[in-house]
Amino acid sequence: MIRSSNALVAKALRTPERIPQDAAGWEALIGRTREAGLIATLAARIDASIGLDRVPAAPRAHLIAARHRCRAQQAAVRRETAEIARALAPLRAPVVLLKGAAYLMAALPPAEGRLFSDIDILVPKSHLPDVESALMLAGFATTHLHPYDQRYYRRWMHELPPMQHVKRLTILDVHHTIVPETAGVALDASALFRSATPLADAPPFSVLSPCDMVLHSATHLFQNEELTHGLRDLVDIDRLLAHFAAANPSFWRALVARAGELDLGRPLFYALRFTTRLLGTPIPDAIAPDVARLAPAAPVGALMDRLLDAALQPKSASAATRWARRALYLRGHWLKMPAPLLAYHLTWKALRRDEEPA
Amino acid sequence: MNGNRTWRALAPEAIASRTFDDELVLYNDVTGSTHHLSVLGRSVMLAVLAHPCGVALDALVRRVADDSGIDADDALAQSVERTLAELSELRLVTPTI
Amino acid sequence: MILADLAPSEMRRRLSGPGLRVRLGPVAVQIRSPFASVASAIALHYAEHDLLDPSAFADFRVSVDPPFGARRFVGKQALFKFDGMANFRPLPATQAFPLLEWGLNWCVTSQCHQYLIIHAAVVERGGKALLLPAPPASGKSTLCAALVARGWRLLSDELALIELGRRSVVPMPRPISLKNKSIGAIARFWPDAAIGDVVPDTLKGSVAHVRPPGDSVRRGGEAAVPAWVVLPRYAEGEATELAALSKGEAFMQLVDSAFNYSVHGRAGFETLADLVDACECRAFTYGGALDEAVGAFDDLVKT
Repeated sequence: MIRSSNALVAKALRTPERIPQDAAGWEALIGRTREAGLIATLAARIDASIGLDRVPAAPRAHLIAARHRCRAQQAAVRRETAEIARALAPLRAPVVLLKGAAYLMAALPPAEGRLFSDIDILVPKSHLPDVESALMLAGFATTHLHPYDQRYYRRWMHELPPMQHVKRLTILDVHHTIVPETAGVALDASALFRSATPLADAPPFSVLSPCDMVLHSATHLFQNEELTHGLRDLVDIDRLLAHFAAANPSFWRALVARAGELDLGRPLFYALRFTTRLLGTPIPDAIAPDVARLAPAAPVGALMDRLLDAALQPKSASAATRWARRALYLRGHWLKMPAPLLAYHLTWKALRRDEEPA
Repeated sequence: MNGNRTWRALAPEAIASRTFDDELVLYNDVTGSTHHLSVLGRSVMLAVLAHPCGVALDALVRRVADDSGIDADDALAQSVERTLAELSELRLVTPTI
Repeated sequence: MILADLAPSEMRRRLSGPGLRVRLGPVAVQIRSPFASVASAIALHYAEHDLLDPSAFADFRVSVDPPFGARRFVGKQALFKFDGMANFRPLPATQAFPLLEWGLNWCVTSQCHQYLIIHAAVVERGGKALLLPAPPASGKSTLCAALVARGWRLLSDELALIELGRRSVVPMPRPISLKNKSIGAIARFWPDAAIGDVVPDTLKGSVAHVRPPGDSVRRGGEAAVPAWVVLPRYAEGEATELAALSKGEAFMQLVDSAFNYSVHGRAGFETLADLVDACECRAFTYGGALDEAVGAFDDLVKT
């Protein structure tokens, strides 16, 4: 069953004109939406439907505050991508923007009201050393300085350790593929680069092709460790699907085909399952059988449904959620790393948690 | 010396400024940064902003000399060039061409 | 209805159960906490604050609780939560009330972006506000308490809420927090002050809070326009001095002291520039003689 907090936020996003009628309703909506990282999105949707003036003054202040933050973050991401462009343009290497920064710079619907944290880019593995050097020259320093963590990111994951700009403090994640090499699934990253779309007004950046963008979001959502922005990522996927399908009648076919090509059928299946359940994403009848074929065997499927549903709840949810998240965290890691390495890594991580601030 | 380069504001519409007595503070939307400019920095920046199409270095030095009552000599010219270099780092000014 | 009108047992019931709702200037908060120390501190410091109906909208729902599943009766800790989320490490339970106060500050600075928020004390006299921005250990809170002791109205000891595009500061009168030696200094200087329990061994040393005067709380709906920006600096033994400060310098200090300047960009720049333009700016040094310090500000009002 869909738990109540996600359903509350999802419903408000789908029908923003149906605003709460009492203080308790507003408190719940603002609280849950804020936790899900979607408060600025909600503000934008309410404004576009009935206008923020229809919101009572006290809750409205929170929505307005969220919009201020959102605008400031968007300006910051634009500046940051401009700085990264200056640093990397001389290398003449392909640089693909991912996720939030991609949506913003490519003017895609998920950018509206989106709150950003890091900037993610994808570069070919062969260019990694040069990219890292160029970024360091531009003031980005590597983080996670312990040699273990460095190895974890570089050799076992699919990215450099996060880089942080020494003055601006922005965080940049540099990836070279979207599924790590140590997992059983080997993804041919060159396929991603070949299909990438250059951004005419933001050289040297490209963004992933529409199919790859959706697949990346789906993969990122379910195979990585951080499930804390689950609903937000589903909202992104829902908007991307609607946008790309409207622009291209053969988009859905292409998406399923591409998922097969890149062996990302399973994440796509789960993503679609949850966007339909939570957000009512329409899937064309003609495509439904092809999507159904991507499903896992039944027992695994049912368990995953329960785990994912629980884990997608915002941070404040119950012990059951925390357990579910831990169980999925284990799965996320397991998919990425062979078991012996995984045990070693988790022990290390557990020790480190005590040192880090809450 | 770099010859007689011409300088202009990088993005004049991105700059908001305020003068307090003989000090200048400004906000640059290109970087999101805010700056408090010295007397020399103020003089140079205001001169550049007053010439949207660009102002040549020697004209700039003369203008700063007039503003400040200092002689327009080599020492001043070097100071002005250094200031321009700093303002360029801050993405406030840029040489034309 | 104010908090003091509530029967103590009812106040404790609400705190332990459904939550106690109080108005803090422009924000309404719901507080929950089972700690007796928190209940008694709230009864002291928030006595004059407006009590809100349980059905009124709460901007922030906060709690200070023992951590989930913790050993409730041995080695107690307190954990601050905002809307059910715990973003901070737990502290010893003896620090529960300071934790609540710091937590409320965090809520305002991280959420109230409808304002430009400056880390500063704000007091008012004769219809004009005095802004005291300062980094930690500047003696700002001690000075603020001394001025309030001598009749200045308290708008805030920590957070100046400035409306964008306007030069007015919105009050949020709350307990003034004092540290270490300044606790004793203020106790001597202000014998009538209602000072709460001294909590030792916090990250900031010993901490205590002074109740905001009833008049300041009752006038919590009255914004004030700043006439002075003064940067305080405490330096033990030094003479009291109110020196000139360039407006450019004062402006940059405000920018550096703002929690959310980068959220507002250009609008923040213009707001602070307008504010500084209309204010007299000074740098203030004092060495501990609070009478002299307050006297210097009396002179400022007269000029």
